[in-house]
Order: sequence, then C-alpha cells, then structure tokens
Amino acid sequence: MSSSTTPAPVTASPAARTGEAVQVQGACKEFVDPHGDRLRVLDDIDLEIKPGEFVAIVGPSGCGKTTLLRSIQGLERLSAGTVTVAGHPPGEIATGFVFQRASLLPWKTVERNVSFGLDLRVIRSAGGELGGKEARQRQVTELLELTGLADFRHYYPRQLSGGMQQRVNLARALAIEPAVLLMDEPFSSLDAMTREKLQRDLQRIVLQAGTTTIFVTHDIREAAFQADRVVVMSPRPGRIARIFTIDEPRRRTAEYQNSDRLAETARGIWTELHEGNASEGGRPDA
Amino acid sequence: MADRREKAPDAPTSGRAITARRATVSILGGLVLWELAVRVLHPSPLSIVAPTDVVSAFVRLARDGTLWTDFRVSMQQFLMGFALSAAIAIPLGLVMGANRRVHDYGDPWLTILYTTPNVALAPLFIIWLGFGNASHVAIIALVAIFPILINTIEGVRTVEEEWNEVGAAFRASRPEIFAKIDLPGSLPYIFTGLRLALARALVGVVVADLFGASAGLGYLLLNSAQAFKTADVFVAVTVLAALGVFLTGGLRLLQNKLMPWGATTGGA
Repeated sequence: MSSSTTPAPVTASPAARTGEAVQVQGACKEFVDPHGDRLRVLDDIDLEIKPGEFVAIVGPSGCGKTTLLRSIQGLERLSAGTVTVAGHPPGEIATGFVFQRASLLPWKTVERNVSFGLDLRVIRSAGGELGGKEARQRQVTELLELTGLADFRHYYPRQLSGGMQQRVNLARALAIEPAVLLMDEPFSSLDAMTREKLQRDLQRIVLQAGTTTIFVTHDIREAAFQADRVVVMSPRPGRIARIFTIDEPRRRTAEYQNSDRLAETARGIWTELHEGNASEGGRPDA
Repeated sequence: MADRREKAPDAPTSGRAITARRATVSILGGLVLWELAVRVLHPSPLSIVAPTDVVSAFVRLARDGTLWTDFRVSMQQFLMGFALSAAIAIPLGLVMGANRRVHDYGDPWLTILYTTPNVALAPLFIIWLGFGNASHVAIIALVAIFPILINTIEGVRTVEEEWNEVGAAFRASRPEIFAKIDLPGSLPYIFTGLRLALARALVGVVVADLFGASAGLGYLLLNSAQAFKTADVFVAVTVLAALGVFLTGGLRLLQNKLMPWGATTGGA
C-alpha cells in the first residue's frame, strides 16, 4: 500500500519523493505514572528531515529520544501534534526499525530473519516490486552482500557475534525498503572497535541505499561522526535544545573518525549537553 | 572468517565422551556394589535381591509372556494418554497464552485442577469410565496435561514479551504474529512441558493400575509385591525406569529435529 508504482532498484533512493521525508509538528507525549500523575516526556517537538538525510538525536537518558523515534514508527501514539513520514501518517508507510537489543528470531537463519518483513502479508499484498517470491529472494541476497553477511546467510543468530547480529537487524529493517530507517541505540551494547567499524559500514550502507536515517544514541561522537545534523534534546520534558549541522561530506571515513575536526564538533555538542539548555537541573557549577 | 568448518570443534565431542564414560562407570559400579553387598550380607530375599536375581526373574517373566503382555498394555495406555494430553494441552496453551480473555477465564480452573492432587481424581474416572482402558488413559492424560499446558502458556507469553515489538514494527497481523513468532518461539517451552509430562504420565500408568487392572506394569508391580516376589517387583520397576529413559531420549531427538537452531530457552 505504501510502495511507489514505479519499480526501482534497491539502491535507488526510496525517499526520492517530493517534500520532507519526516515531518514532526508540535509533538507532545504524556504518560500517566503509577501514582496517576501526568509525566510529560515530549514537549512541542518540531523537526523536519529531508530525504536522504542522516539525523542523529542525542540527549540524557529520559529525554524522550526513544519515545520520539517510536512515535515516528507508530509504536507510540502522540498526545498532541502530528508526525508524517513522506506525507503519510506513521503506520501507513513502511518504516524500518532497528532495535537496541538484538531482536532476531532465534529459530530463523540469517537469511530468513532478513526476509521476515518481506514475507509478511503487508508487503506481499502491496503488489509492488517486492511482491514476487523471486524479487524478494533477490532483495535479500543484495542486502546480505551490502551488509557483509553473504557468507553467513545460513547461520542461526546465536552463532553470530553481537556485531554481526546487529548487521542482520539492520538488513532486516532495510529489506522492506523503508521510507525512513529508525535506529534506537543500535550499537550501544557492542565493544568500541566493533561499534566504530559498524558506524563506518552504516555510512556506506545507508548512502548506497539512499535511506533517510534517524539514529538515536547517547554517544556524542557516534552522532557527530555519522549525521548531517545532530539534534540535542533536553531532559524532561523532552525539548529540542539545539540542532548542530555537521559540515563534513558523507560518506565519512576512518580518517574523519580519528580527526581533530570530529573531536572539536563532539566537544561543541558535549558543551551544549552539559552546560547549555540540555543539561539536567540547570547550569552546573563552573 | 566465514568458513563453516570453524564451527565444528572437536573439544565438546570428547567432553561428551568423557561424560558418557563416567556415567557408564557409575552405573556399572553401583550394580557391582549392590551384587557384592547382597552376596556378603545375605539379607532376607523378601526385602532385597541381587541384580543377577532380577535378571533371572526378567528372563523368566519374558519367557512365559507375562512381561510382554504387561509391557504392551501399559505402553498402549501410556501412548494414548500422553498423546491425548498433548493434543489438548498444546493448542489450549497456545490460545491461553496468546489471548488474554481466554487466559483469564481458563486460569482459575487450571489453578484449581493443578493444585488438586490429581491422583485423588482417579477413583472418579473409574466410576465414570469403568475399569477398562478408557479410565487408565484418562488418568494418565490428566496427570500429564498440566506441565504441558502451563509451560506452553508460559512460553507464548515470554515469546510475546520478547518479540511482540518486532512483529508490531513490521506491521505483522495478529495471525501472522501467532504463526511466525508465538508458535516457533514457544517450541522450547512446549518440549520442556512434554518432558515433565512424560515422567508424570509414567507415574499415571502405575497409579491407574493400582485402582484396578488385569494386566500392565503397575499390575505386575502390585501383584508381585502382594505375593512377596521381590525380584519381580524389581523387574517391573526397572522396565518402567528404562522406559522413562528411552522415551525422554526419543523426545530429545524429536526436539533436535524440530528445533535445529538449538535454543535451550526454558529447556531443562
């Protein structure tokens, strides 16, 4: 129901439609806590993301960054405000979600995990380019190659390292050709070396697939290394404190990963997080 | 890196071999000690007999056909009772695990029936179904049903908690979540339930015979005990024990076949 009518290869930008890829307007989200009190986690968030853009969201824990991501996915309903993905309400268009935990199905091989979304009725009945069995098979093979999993297609998740599992997680989300890729701290449980390798690989993968990406993380360097823009959120109620634009052409390389430029950018974001509007409980002592 | 030969290490195999050797030594050693103790201490043959006496009793009972008849009758009752309990408990457990409403209506009954000593219900089955095969099968099914049911419910609920979001994120329909996530995901739990149920079903075989039977391993046990044929009692017990071990092994083979991914969640 969401796929465009013109068939396009996997590598083409699925976000090549007109207008914003993601538009968030006046988004508010309140939870009722066990005592019956209202807890405001998102407060009047406005955010526009262009097709093909990579946006990272950073903020202290409890700032609502994951809630925002889940609202775009349609896993949470906003209390007020609107979210649209390529002009559609969330839930009516294919969006890919990469979970923090490796949420792979242990009884499926890598290949079958990647094709999980493709095998569902929603995609099959769409009748688009991914409707046919052969087309789905081809799609999976391309993605396995893109994510460096080609040699592991018949493995079960438990036979893979944490980093490889997150690659499968990513490939599974990309398989349905999402209008936007939503990643919820996907690398946070990995060791530093694997994490940096995956950050570089993700650069290549999303550029090649042309996917609009929103990446939630608490790692400032990770955000600054990957994103076109870094959104800094302040804690409870979650507001956008500041948006940093990173003037560094993508795809970003290992050289940039170790550069002073990145360190400088990360320092600026760090200062905003810790001393600016985003800091918890006002300004810290100097 | 991707070479598949890498994941076939020799170490665990030799480890398993060592474990198997130790188990054999332990069993054989125990039997030898038992034999020696009986020969040296000469206890009353009414209370205990040597392993060799059990073997000769086994041969005698096997030759005159009694053992085969008792085995066949018990085995038939066991298989029917166990299959019946699985056929009821697995679908019911899946539905109760996946559907909150069905769970809420069913759970009080489950709690009441599970906490009642099931054996206490055996005389009722005799009243309802008579002394024949039907009451035996019903008693076996009754004692076997609860572990399967409880584990299946637990399995579906755990699986839903863990992977529900994945289904939701990919916009899977409820039937798809059930078929593609709940069902395969709860398999390890179902097998745990089956394994526990198997042991209980064997108890059911014996208990059902105690309430009245004309053949069966429990009948052999009871009859031999009343006639003070201690060696024959040991034959019945040994056959029941061997049955338990072999059936559990068979269940494990089936599990490995159905679950090649080798998850051990909930597995004991």
